[in-house]
Amino acid sequence: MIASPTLWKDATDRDLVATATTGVEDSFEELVRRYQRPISAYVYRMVGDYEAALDLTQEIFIKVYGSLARYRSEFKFSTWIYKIAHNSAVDHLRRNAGRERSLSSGIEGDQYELPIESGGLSPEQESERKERRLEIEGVVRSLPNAYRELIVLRHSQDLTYEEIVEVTGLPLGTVKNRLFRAREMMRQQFLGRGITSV
Amino acid sequence: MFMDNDNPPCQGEQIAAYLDGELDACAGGFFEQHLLECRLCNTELNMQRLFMRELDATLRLDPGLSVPSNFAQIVAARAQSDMSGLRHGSEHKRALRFCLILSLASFALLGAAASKAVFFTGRTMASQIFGIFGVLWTTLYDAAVGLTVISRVISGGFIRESPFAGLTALLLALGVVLLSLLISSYHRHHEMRLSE
Repeated sequence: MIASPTLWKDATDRDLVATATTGVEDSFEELVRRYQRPISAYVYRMVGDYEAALDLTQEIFIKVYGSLARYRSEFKFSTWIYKIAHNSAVDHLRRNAGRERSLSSGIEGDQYELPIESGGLSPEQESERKERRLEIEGVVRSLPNAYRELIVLRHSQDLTYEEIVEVTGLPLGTVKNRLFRAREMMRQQFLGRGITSV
Repeated sequence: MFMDNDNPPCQGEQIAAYLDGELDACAGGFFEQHLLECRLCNTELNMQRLFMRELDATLRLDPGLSVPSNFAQIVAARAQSDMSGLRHGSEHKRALRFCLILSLASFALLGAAASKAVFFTGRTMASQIFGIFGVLWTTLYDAAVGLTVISRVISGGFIRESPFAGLTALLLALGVVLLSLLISSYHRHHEMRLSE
């Protein structure tokens, strides 16, 4: 059975998973298309390396395909895929713990240009905004992994506390506490850098 | 934790949870009531709200990763060709059957190719060995034929020229035997004398 890509666009994630498990190739491709950007963005913010993030994203989708039969439809597909992505990113960080530490000082040079919305801003304002965002990205990157993952899941992927609990497997209290501590840590870092407006 | 003179201690985590929309209706109502009375919590709330807005605004932007346009196709193709992605027991069994058939076929083809090579080499070696033996055999045969012809010619001439050739040959043989006996007895006596 081959369906046109436009047909899949209206299908829910659950429908796509159900058809993908029966061997319909296009439906899995549509799932990848839907989640490739958020997953790669999440992984990139976790590992901080473009090439590694792309490779890892690919691995994650291959894992997802291999585990489709184990997916239970009572859970949200997005939470399930983030869980796989989270585990893969944590494994990657663990594997490269030594290397990451040695590279962390030079990570600033490996930055990609942040896309800036320039609706009605003067060049100075734009530049200031860009600088601010780079500062924030830098501070997020400097957080310990245990805090960074929660900040990224909450603020970048817009997951609820409950979803974060499902993804990370941490108790709700720990999630709340770590998120609060992470934000405090970031605020302190901003103050340390002399940025008081955040 | 923040303290206000007239209010109980306030939880920073509560403020964060309130801003994240994670307090249930009851806890939210209670917290809002508390905010009306607590100046410190109000200040903290405003600071956290500003900070979270800034975080959201930054982190919800795409980090600028350019995913290849055919990424989904590549990943789907890779995932589907990956044997570890087989999801059902029946698929595993079918894959195992295919593997067995393919391996048997490849063994058979390899065997045929190998036996062909072995037979070819054996046949070449055997033909070379047979060739060498053939040359040797021909040489020996020709040499034997030549010697027979020569001896025939010599003996034919000898027999034809002398009518007492048989008797002469017998006498010659007797002479040779007697001579060898005489020589050996001479040597025996000579040794005995030397030892005495």
